[in-house]
Amino acid sequence: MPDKDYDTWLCTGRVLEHWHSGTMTMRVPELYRAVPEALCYMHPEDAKAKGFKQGDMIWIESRRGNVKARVETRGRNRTPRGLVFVPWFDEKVMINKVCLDATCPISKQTDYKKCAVKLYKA
Amino acid sequence: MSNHATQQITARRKFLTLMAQSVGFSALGGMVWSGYIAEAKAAPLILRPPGAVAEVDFLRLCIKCGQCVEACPYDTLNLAKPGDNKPLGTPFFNPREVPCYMCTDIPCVPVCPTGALDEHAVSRVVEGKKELDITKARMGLAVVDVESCIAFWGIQCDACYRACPIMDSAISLEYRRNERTGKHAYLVPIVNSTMCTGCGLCERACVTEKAAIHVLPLEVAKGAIGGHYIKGWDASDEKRLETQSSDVTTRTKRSEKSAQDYLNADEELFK
Repeated sequence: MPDKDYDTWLCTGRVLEHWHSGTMTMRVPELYRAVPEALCYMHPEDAKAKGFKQGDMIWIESRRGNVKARVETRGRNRTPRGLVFVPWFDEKVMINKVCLDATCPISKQTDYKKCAVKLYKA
Repeated sequence: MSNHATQQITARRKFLTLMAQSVGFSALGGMVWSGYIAEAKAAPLILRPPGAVAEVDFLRLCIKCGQCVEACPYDTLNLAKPGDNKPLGTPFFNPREVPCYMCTDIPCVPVCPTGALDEHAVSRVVEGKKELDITKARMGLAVVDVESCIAFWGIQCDACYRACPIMDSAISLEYRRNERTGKHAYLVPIVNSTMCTGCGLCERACVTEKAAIHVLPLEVAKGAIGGHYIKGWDASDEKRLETQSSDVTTRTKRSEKSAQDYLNADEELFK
């Protein structure tokens, strides 16, 4: 859960162009051209409050790990305030390093969907 | 005596050989360069750096010093080489290879020593102070080939839209109903010519084999409707009626003849 230090929700997921980890779709020239890297989608007001500009490289850090990604505040994937979205198809943006490596005791479902993060300029 | 004569002959020979050589060299050089004369005149499809004055004046003003090319941090700008089919030595860019990244400090323009790149064209006045504004640049206009653009086929692709630095104002996505499937939408990119700077980031981003959106110089890309067309449904456009001069004429050379003259010229229909 977000607290004073880790003040933002991170949500992971997919983009239209890439299937899962992109092992195949990142090798299709059109799809690679369309979305060549995973971006950190966030609300423009959040970005402004943290002093990020469109296209800035930032660190996304949780209690377990961190990755670098570029800020995107426009276009598709408009997030609500207080939440950032990072897709996990990109082998250069290993967002699962940030996520919690725990599974549900009953279903064995992993907890890679969301966690609390802090963001700062890289 | 004989020695002196030989010396004289040698000197003259040397002179003659030198002359022959230089004539030969200049002829050869002339032959090589004359091949490029045609291309040195004009290239209607060339894209110039931001703030460039009109092409005719640009060719007169540009001294081919290359300072704009040197100032460009992205290696966007090139100087035309022999064989590029562009006026030799003048700066241009090819957006599919390297587009203009629209630096806010526009390093390529202030370095121009002759005004071929005009700082006023890319500046605006804010509270009495002049500051650079790259969104005022008009390097060209992005044009969509609707036949090869996959968005016009009904496939969702907004690569150009997302690549646009002034997204939603220079390129916007228009929703249209897909009548072929009856339940989907087209999301087609529409370029606004009053906002597009011609930076070419969209052309760079286009996913098709050859870009379906490409930047053309404004004078090539744009049509002109004629001042006497007024949008009756647009109140602000209709205001132009008040200032419109009355000497608008629709008479052309053809109007000199009557319709009948034109239809039945030189024919003996009723014998």
